[in-house]
Amino acid sequence: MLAWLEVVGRGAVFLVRVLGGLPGAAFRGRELLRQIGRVGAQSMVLILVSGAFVGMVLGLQGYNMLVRFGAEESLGLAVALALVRELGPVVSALLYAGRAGSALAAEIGLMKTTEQLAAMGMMAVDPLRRVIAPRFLAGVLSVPLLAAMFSAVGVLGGQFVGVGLLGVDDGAFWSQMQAGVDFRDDVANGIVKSVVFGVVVTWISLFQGHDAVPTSEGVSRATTRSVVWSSLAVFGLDFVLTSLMFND
Amino acid sequence: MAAEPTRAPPPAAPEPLVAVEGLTFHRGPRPVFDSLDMTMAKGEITAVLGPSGAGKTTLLKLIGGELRPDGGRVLVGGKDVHRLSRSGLYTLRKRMGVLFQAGALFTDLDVYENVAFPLREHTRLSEETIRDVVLLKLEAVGLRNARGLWPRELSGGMARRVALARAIALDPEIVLYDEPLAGQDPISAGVLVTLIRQLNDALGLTSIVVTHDVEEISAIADRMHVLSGGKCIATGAPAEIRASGESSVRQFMQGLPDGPVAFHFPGPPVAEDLLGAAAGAPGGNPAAARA
Ligand SMILES: Nc1ncnc2c1ncn2[C@@H]1O[C@H](COP(=O)(O)OP(=O)(O)OP(=O)(O)O)[C@@H](O)[C@H]1O
Ligand SMILES: [Mg+2]
Repeated sequence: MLAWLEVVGRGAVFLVRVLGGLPGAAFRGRELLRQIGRVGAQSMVLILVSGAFVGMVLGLQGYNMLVRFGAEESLGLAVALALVRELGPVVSALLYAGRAGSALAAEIGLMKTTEQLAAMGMMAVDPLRRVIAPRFLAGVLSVPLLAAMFSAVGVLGGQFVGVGLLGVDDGAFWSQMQAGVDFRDDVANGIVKSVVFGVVVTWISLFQGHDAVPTSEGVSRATTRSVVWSSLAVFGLDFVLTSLMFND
Repeated sequence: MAAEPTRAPPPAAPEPLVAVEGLTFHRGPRPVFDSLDMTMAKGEITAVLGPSGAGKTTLLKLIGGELRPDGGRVLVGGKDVHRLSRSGLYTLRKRMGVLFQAGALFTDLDVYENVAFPLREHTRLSEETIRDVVLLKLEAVGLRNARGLWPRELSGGMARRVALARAIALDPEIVLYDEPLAGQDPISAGVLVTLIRQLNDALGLTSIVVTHDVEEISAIADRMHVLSGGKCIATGAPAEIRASGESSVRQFMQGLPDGPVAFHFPGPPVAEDLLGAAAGAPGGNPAAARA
């Protein structure tokens, strides 16, 4: 328990120091773009393919449910709400943790093991500002974009199954969606979720790498831990955020 | 690799730039340093010799402020390294160049960018000036034409030389070299030794060289300290150290296996370990047992 508190404490100090490096990271445009390219683009294909399949499954399941009440016209609304409120932010954060977060943890852990971070510190360059902060910012900016892509592709997947294969009326699919999805309640809340997930997953991954025991096994453990803790954090926070957002 | 014979011997008590006072440091329960005292004079090359595991790398990490001592202090230019704020420490480190034992090159930057890194971070030099400086530093270590290679494409010795070029990119006042000669062939070792001397004299640097290559470093060092058992067991000019009658110093300088300096990491004797294992204590680890 004490050891656990200590880790949380170190993680908090780490986060504060990284946040202090954010203004500097924001002004290093080229490095930031490079990291967004790596961190975000790395996960993009995975996000697009997964989003399409999840949307198609939602189309099938939603149709089967709605058709019992003769409400299959509402399929577009049901698919969109499920994606924008829940599945978009949550699933894309989980995929990002597995794809980019684990890579970040391993990269930082190896930089520590090979003394690259120490060497940088001895050159009077703070690795938390120079190495970690740009990656953190890149992750935080990427996750909401990935979630948006996931939801957009998912809606198309749902439309493909619902309209294309099961014969739901195309006009009704889109108009019900347009009428039923509220910007503030649904879209904005979904964005808030994915921003929170982006911060937490990127923080956990970078911290695990930075806190790794500097050995091969230590880096491998840190990589695993980054995915495990990120996933648990996403599910836990999703419950907390949902109950705060949608209970009135 | 003889130094110029005309070089004047260092004055008896030169001004110390780095002073280690009563330094105590533990790794786990085992003391690495036990009230260690030594000084490194401004403008000189000080060699710190000692057997493998004596704590040479640890000493450099303590001087650079990477590790904190359990007792005592390290003064650099009169400032206690471990009482500085982070920004104070970084200001001090801008005046220091450090060559890491394993090189520690940035693996996502090529050779050129590795050497350019400190210049880009700490100066506002134009791209042409940076290019000139980088190529000059790489020329000095014989790797100007390797500038396009990636760290993974370098041999161990080459990587160390690139790291040396990076360590001196900003023309620091103090350079800490951790085993600059390890893994170098006789030609590069000779060139590096001369380079360390030339840099020291031309730029008025203070150099601290940690090594166990007694022969090469004797040719250029102004002063040598011999570390053993957590203490500095001998200090003096290379000739004095060579002439020392102290048995542990003689043993180290002449590379004799038997003597007061143990070749073996401390622990129970081999007979006890082997027979003890046969008698039913499989895989007993003396270091763990002590911890
Ligand atoms: N991270 C660490 N954790 C625990 N003990 C360590 C660690 N690093 C070094 N040590 C111990 O500290 C002692 C000094 O190590 P150090 O690396 O300073 O030796 P060295 O003199 O540089 O040796 P070499 O010439 O082989 O490089 C060794 O006995 C080693 O076992
Ligand atoms: Mg060493």
